Amino acid sequence: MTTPLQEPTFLILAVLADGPRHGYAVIQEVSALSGGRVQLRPGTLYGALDRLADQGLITVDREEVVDGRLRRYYGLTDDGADLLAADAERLTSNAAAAMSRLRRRSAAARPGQA
Amino acid sequence: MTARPPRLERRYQLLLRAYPRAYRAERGEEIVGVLLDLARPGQSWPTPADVADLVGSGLRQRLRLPIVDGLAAGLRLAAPVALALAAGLSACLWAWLEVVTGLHTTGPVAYAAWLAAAVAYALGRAGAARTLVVVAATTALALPAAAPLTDLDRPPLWVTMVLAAFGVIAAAGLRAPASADERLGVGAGTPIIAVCATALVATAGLPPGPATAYYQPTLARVGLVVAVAVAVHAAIAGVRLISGRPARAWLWATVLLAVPGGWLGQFGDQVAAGVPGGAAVDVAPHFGRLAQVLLATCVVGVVIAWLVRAESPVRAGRRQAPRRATPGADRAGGGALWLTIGAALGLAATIAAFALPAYLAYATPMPLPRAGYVSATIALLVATALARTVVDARTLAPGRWARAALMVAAGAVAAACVGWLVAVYDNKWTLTGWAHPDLTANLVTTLALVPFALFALDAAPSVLRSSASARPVLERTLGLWTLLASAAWLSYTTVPHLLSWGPVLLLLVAGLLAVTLAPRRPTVN
Repeated sequence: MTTPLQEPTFLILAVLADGPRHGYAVIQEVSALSGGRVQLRPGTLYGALDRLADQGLITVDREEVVDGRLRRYYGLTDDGADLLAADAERLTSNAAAAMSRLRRRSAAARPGQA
Repeated sequence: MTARPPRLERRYQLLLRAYPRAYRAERGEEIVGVLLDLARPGQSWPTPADVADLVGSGLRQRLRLPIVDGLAAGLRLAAPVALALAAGLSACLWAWLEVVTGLHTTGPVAYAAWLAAAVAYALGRAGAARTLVVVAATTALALPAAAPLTDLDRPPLWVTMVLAAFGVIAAAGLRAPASADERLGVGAGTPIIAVCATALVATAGLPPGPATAYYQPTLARVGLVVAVAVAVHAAIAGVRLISGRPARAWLWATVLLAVPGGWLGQFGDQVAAGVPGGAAVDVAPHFGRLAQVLLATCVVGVVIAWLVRAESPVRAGRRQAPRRATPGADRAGGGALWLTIGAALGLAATIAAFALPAYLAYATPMPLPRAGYVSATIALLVATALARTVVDARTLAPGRWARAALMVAAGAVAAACVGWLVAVYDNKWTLTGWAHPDLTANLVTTLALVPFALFALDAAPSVLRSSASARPVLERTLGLWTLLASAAWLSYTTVPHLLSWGPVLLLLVAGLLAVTLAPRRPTVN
């Protein structure tokens, strides 16, 4: 996959990076990780989880029954970890490039501000 | 997360019905659990955001947009080909029929837009080409409505339909930037297609009346060019299948191009009579353009159903949830069958509505073969619909009668509307002075192709499967009857006219036969 990940997809993979989570935890941690900007709804979340599972990026780690209700824990596969790492690297280098240019901009005289 | 009223849970479960049943069985509990975890204490109604989210996601799941794998790649393969075909055929129709033969229709407006789209694409302006494609396809659809405003004729419906369908494929699949290969393909392909199509049409000689030039032999001969494109894609898909490489995208490209391609026919005996539909009118069954379009669309539908169901082993292996192990069980199962039963009954009534005056009150009585064919079709439609009803009613859960009845009614009304529309078309788009009710009944009878094809497809697996003997005798007997009756009607209506079938239709049927009779069923990657 060469196209950059969508932000919600990126955040879901990031949440799962250090260990399996169930659906509710994914929603909460995605919200925390994005500073409250990305609030996933359950339908959207499960659509994304289905797609990521189809692509072999995540997998069902285990199932538990809590309060008589089924909970599935989703974990990152090796493919998913590789993809997340590649995209994180891309974002880091983009951000670094942008920051270094912004520094040069503040160092140089700005046009129209003579 | 404190005490939640079970009312909220019930309401969430109600909303979850937006999802297909099989998906709900697999995921429903989990999704409701998350929804309840997210709910505020004391909340008793889903929020508007929940409603939008669940209904939207459920409908997406029903349309199976995320799972039809290979379709997007197939669209990308087919789109430049569709563009070149539509532009090439436009050039052929414009040059040969409008300029040389001297027919004057509103067609050149759409033809010009198609050619401009091809030129823009070849020059590397894929974005502009896509816009022009949308303009060209919309124009093609608007031409019949706009023609009365001018003193020009409209181009025939087959031109409109084929150009619009190619437009949908091209608009959905064209991507910017176009690769050099794609640009060269469209740039060189369009004139080659135009020259080949014109050569094929021109060598047939002018038909007796110039007005027929837009129909026969143009229609089927132009179809030959599209058939070549379909055959090339099918051959590439076949080679990839045999060598074990991913073939899904090529199969999808083949099928997509075959949709408008299949409509291009039939090779008619109409030329002999000099008027469209002329020689064929005394024939019952009448295999005309409507039959060609319906039969080809049904055949393409079979191929698409096969493609959607044949999952690639790689993806199936990766998949954790077995929720799609019974593809279509929820969608194409119960509901669709009741719709078909309704459609069969509604169509039978519509045919009868035109046939009865033709039997009784029409000045010249309906010729016996046609009266027999039309009457037999009405009887078979009703009989197969009743047989299916008996079989399905036995498996119907007690609470689902109302829904089944609603589906039957909806199918009947839809079929009656379509039948009426075809009749009005046959009556030159007027609602009064039905000139030939017997011919109209004969044409409307052609529509029975669709319910009979659906009945046959539905009955075939349950009759032919080895586990069939485990079913009750009544169910087996009625299933066998449905299959035999449908197959008999379909064969009688279409097979004697095999030589009239359009080229892409023949190609598709040959391909399906080859796959079915192949010693080893290929797995689709």
